[in-house]
Amino acid sequence: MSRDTRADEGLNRSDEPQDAVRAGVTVALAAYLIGLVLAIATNSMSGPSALLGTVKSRIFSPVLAPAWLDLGYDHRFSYGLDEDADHEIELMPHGSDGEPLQLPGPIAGERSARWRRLARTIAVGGVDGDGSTVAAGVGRGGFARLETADVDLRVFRLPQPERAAPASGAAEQVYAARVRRVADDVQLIRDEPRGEVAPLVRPQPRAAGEGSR
Amino acid sequence: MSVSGSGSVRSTPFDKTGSETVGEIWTRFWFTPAPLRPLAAVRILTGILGLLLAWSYADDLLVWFGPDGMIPRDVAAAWRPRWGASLYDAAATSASITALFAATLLAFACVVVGLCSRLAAVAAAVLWASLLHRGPMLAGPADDCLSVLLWCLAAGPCGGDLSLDRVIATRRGRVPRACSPWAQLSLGLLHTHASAITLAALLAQLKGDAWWNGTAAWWLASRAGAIDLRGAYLGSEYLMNLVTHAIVAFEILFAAGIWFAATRRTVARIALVAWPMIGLLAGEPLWGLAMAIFAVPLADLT
Repeated sequence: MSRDTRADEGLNRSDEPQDAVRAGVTVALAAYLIGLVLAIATNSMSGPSALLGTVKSRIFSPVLAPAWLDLGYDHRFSYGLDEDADHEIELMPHGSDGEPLQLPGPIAGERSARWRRLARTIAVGGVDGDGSTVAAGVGRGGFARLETADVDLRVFRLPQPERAAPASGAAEQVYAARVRRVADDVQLIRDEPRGEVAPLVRPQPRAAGEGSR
Repeated sequence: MSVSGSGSVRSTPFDKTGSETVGEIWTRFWFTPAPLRPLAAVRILTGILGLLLAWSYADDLLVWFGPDGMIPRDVAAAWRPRWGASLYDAAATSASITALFAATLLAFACVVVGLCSRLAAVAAAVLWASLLHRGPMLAGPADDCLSVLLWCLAAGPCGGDLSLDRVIATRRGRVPRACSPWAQLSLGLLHTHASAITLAALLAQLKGDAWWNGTAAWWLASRAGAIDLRGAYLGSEYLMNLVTHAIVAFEILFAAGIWFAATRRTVARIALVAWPMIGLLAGEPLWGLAMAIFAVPLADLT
């Protein structure tokens, strides 16, 4: 760049980075770009490879994670799976037949989307386990609003009808638990479908000719 | 590459001229002085996006993060990545949580008007990351993009134009700059992330059958917050397929097209309309806005 051009652009020589600074920035940029690639590669839904996961977590995560940059950017939006449907939370005093507290309820926009993400977390869980720890917190947070220390929490998956049957479907309960405070402890008692707790084992019909001992 | 006035013609490693070495290409892409106005435009739009996203926390802030909130600190800590940390962890009272949140809004406002711009961008990035780490299960795609935008702004002189900083500097008799190599660094980071984020989203989408068989548009329309075009899709399966494939095609075009001088400006200008539309179709309008902000400096509007 000529001196005249530099003057036209209001650029002083002092604005240009010295070689040492440029070299330092180059190293930092190269390291960051490697970290960016590793973050994308290891935060995909397919899960990280052991090698890439270890390299990233030991070298790059201490810098990227606090800055909210250790991200996969896997913004898929929807595959049409059950877990992609909208979810809602319902809270009510334990055993009550009254009007439940519905979250997000009638609100819209990004605020509503955050409530739905919270509901989905309870229903689907995360990498490190199911959503019961989150459910316990949400239930506890509902104590003050419902003026009780014993609440029923339910999460519903809203219908996601297929194009072939657009009018079908109803909200499906995908998580239910009772959350209560006993002394200073918060207890979560999950209401699990019987089939999950004690799956039916049907006796196999005996093969012909097999005798009893 | 030429730089003049407030206009912007960004070069990329693929705009090879003559017999450049890799080092020269690197230097040209990251360190050639660039005009300040495109970065200023990104700063203003990012600040507005930040205010919109932060405001979505405002009504429920204490419901979620308050002393008896629905997302206790230990639960948030268990759900965030190992090295994640939040300033909100040290805020035990409603007043301190509200004060931190107010500081976040103030930082975004400073980013918009360009007051102490670089410091404001760093403060906004730190406070925003803290807010997201306080409730990681509440964060969405727009939040991720905002975080990237803020850190990219913090890397360059984002307050050099269209800002109170510039007005103050002029009144003090300082000659304002029109170009800076550090602006190029910021713009290079925005450019790289625009492509990387699009590519990552595209790869994630193409793992699902819906994005191959053309039904994804139907499922997107089923989501809360999305424009419900299911009536139109019921009338025409081809329309549903077309919308699905158009989204994928645009993402491929954008991820690759912004790297070539011949296509960059056109693709970026299409992106200014296409990203918000995709955001509306997907029920993530603020994500669409965030992606459009990445395209602003590449569209060369000034």
